[in-house]
Amino acid sequence: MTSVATSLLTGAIFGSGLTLSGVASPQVIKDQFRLSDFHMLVTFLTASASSAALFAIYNSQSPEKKILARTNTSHGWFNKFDGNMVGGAMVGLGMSLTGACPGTVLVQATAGIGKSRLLALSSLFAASSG
Amino acid sequence: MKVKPLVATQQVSPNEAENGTVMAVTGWSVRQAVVRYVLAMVAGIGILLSVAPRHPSLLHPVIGGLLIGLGQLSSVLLARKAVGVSSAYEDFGKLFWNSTEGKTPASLPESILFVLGLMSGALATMLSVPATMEALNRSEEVSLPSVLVGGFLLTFGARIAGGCTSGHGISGMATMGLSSFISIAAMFGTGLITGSLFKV
Repeated sequence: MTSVATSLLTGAIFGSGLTLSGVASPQVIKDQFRLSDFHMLVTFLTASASSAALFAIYNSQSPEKKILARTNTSHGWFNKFDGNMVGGAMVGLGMSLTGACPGTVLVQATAGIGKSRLLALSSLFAASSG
Repeated sequence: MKVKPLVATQQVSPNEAENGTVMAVTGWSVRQAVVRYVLAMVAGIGILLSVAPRHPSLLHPVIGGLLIGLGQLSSVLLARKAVGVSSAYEDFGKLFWNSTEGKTPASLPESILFVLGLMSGALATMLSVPATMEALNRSEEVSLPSVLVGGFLLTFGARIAGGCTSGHGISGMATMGLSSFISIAAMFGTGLITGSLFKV
């Protein structure tokens, strides 16, 4: 398979998983942060735990290119993880304001619910303002 | 505003990546760390399923989580990498600025193709399983200022942190990366504080 087809296909499988699981719904995210519905957390932990097992098995087959951890992001503000802390906090605040994350906003914009398309545009605008 | 240096270029050497893992800090082997992580997650999920409130009409979260895991499996087997979305935003930004200079790319970056696939998969799912569309529609309105500020926070936050809920959360923690555990703790911590304080 070409890399174009591979990227499209893996994206499609991931996108249907996000949609089927219900975590793309803004209400589900907001209710998680209000601790009134734990649907999102259980889904998220299941996805991460199954990925951990998957990566470990894959890496143990000694592939040419292992799945590696991401390095820390530091901007010299206060410690070596300051980028992770500040950036993570910004994403968390953004998620509780909008009920979306950078991935699920794309599912919402596809559905066209509420102001999701405007949110996707403002996220893309922020990406281009560098 | 000086923004360029904020962009984290992820050119990771295997040594560098190994230094920033749970294994490096605890001295555990990869197998020990992963088994303990999975067991802790299973225990946490078990507790949450038995005591925590949940919306009844959605797909069972363990099944939903495994379906997302299936997306991860296909990415590992076919593309030989972990899933992540936020790099597509950075690549979109680069593409945008290149196009203003009249440069057209030979092909779209893989991250953007992944996002196009994600949206197509989402659309096909909504059309074939109407309940997923209903779940999306059952949401309260988000105010205009929240949308504008929120979009900025999501994109810039993910850039500064070097990943988002997918890249650091689903994938990064699964690689036992310390930076991912810290990013996700900051993300959920802030979300929980603002969610409970302001009932936004």
